[in-house]
This record gives sequence, C-alpha cells and structure tokens, in this order.
Amino acid sequence: MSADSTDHSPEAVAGHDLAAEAQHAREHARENNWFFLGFFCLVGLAVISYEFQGTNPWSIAILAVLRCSYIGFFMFMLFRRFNYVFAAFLFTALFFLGMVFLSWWDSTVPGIGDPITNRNDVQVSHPH
Amino acid sequence: MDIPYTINARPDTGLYNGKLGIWLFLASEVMLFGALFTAYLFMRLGADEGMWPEHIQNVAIGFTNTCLLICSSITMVYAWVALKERNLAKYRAFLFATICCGILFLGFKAYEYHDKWMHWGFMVKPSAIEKYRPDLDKMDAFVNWCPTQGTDGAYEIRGHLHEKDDAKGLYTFVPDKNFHPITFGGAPKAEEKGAGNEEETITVSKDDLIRPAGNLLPAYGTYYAIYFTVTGLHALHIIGGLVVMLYFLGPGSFLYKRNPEQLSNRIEVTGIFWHFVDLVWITVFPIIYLT
Repeated sequence: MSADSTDHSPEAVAGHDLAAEAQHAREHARENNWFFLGFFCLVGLAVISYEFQGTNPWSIAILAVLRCSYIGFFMFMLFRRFNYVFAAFLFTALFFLGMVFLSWWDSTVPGIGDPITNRNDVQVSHPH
Repeated sequence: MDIPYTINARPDTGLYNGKLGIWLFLASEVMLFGALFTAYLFMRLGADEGMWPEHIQNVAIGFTNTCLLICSSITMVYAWVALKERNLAKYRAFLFATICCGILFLGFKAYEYHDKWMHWGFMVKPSAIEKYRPDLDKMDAFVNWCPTQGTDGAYEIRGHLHEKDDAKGLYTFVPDKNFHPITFGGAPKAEEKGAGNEEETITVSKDDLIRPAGNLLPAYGTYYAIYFTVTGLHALHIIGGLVVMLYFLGPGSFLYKRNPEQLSNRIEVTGIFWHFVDLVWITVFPIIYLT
C-alpha cells in the first residue's frame, strides 16, 4: 500500500497527458455516438415492424430481413476492432439466420408465427 | 492516509477503485434485471389465453422515452469529455442536459402510470355481451375473449373511465379501439370499418360483469404486475442516477477546483451506471411495449 500512496499525489496527476486524454475521450465519445445510434436504429426498426405488422407474409419477410440485416451489420461493427473478424462475421451470419427464424416465429403468419397465442388453439397446434 | 487508485488505474486490473466498484455493482444489477426478465418470459409463456394484453401500451411515449435516454447517454459522455478538456462550464451544461432528459423521462413515465390508473377493464359475462355488441361493433371497440375467466369464460372490454355511478352500479367509459397495423394495402383501416367518434362512450352494468371492474394496476393481472415491477424498478434507478448527477452538478462539482481528475473519474463511473440504465430500458421497451 505504501508503494501506491503516491498514486494520486499532485505529481501523479500532473503526469497525466491532458491533451492526449482529452483526445482519447473525444474519440471515445464519437464511438459511443455510433453505438447509441446503432441502438436507436435497432429500436426504430422494431417500432416500424410493430406498426407494420400484419398477416401479409411479404411485408413480414421484408421487415424481418431488414431488421436482421441491420442487426448483423451492427454486430459486425461492434466486433470490427478484433482481429478475428472472420469469426465475428460467422457469428453474425448465424445470428442473422437465428433472427430470421425468430422474426417469422414472432409474426402472425398462420402455422409458423405466434405459437404462444396459437398453442391454445387446437386447430393450429393439432391440425389433424 | 491516502487511499490508493482513486485516480490512476491499478496496473494489474487496469481499473481504478470507482470503476471496479461500479462494474461489480452492475454485475449484481444484471442478475436482478435478468431474473425479472426471466420471470416475465415464464409468466408470458404460462399466461392463459386472452390474459396477456397486446397493444395496451402507448408506443409513441415508450419510443420518446427511448430517444430521451439515448440522448441523455450521449450528453453524459460529453460531460465527461468536457471534464477531460478541463472545461467546467461545458461539463455543467452537458450534465444539466442529461438531468433534463432524465426528468422528462420520469414525466412521461408518470403520465403513463396515470393513464393506467384511469384505464379500466371490464370482464363481461358471455350471456350479457350481446346487449353491448352492436355499440361495440359500431365503435370498432376491442373485445377480448378470455375462456379461462369465470365459469363460462368472459369478454374483456377495456377503456378510459368517463363516469362511475356506484349507486346504480354503472360504468361509463370510452372503449379501446381495435389495433389496426399498417399493412401494404392489406387490412382496412379503423375508419373504413366504421369506427365512430374517439370519445364515444359505452355504459356497462356491474351486474353484467363476472368480477368487479378494476383499473389496470398490478392487481388487475400478471402483465400489469410485471409491467409496474420492471418499469418501477427502472424508474427508481433513473431517480438514483438523477440524485447523483444533481449532486455532481451542485456541491460535488467543487471537487473540480481541488482535483479535476478525480471528478472526471466520478463522472465516468456515473456515466457507466447511466448507460446501464439506458440499456435496460432498450431491453424493456421492445418486450413490454411492442407486444
């Protein structure tokens, strides 16, 4: 502990390269902006999908692909700083496929979508 | 005695005390909210038919609140940047903007809670529903079939209470309309289906209900209980964050004269907490509002 007692002494604080730290903070803020912009777009797409939902399979499919593409791109952007870009890309592809499935599952398309609501409907859950 | 690592990071962890503390705290918070989200999932999966309301929330308000929190996260980071630039006035301006966003968020939340207080649900007996059916159809009112309620099931009608006559046992309310999603040339719009005036009321008698009418508070149903628990707990976190930020806007900011780097660290830690609260909301919004 004694070795650390000089940690925030005036010398230690003065040793900070303020200009470099400020520059780093600005870069950090810029990255954060992109991050939050990404989240904002994601939520925005979710709201648009909610308002446009229906039983038209094409509209659901288009919105599902749009959302999934965006999520995939967003995840790719998050992972871009790592060297194992290929792994991140693979993960994105898997994630994309998973989200396509989930979007259809969450839709109202007969036979595929809305299993939570439909499970009590005998004709849907046990058509035969 | 000086406390070590209040400003500089400890070499082996790369974190200063405050940052290590906030990450440990957030780990416990993740477990707390994780348990609540899991509870939500299981309650939704286990809900009886018709008992999990859909399209009950005001998406516009929820989305506005999402935008407010995202904006506040951005201004919070810039408050920290301002401290790194040793610009106290800019720091205060950004922190003030963050606080304003948080207060606006709580204002909208209070409006929502008040709306739930005024929003009532009525479980009408199947034998009595035909009496109201023509008016309900004319208004394009939302009628929800709940087969597990009562002995023969019940039809749920929800709406904003207009008048309550306890002596006669009559409730007059503006019923909720059916949800009409925007489709690419698909389903007809509400007006095309003959929906009447938005303020048109309907009166139901207490005798036609299987149980007393109630406003959409936790006692009304599982969905409302989890909605108030999750959003209430989240709102408490917002209040906590605002208290801390108000302190650093006022008396706490005097630390700037003595040790600006330490204040910068404290604001960074507050920002991490605020981002967490923001991310929780980004999770809460789709699962609770977009159902």
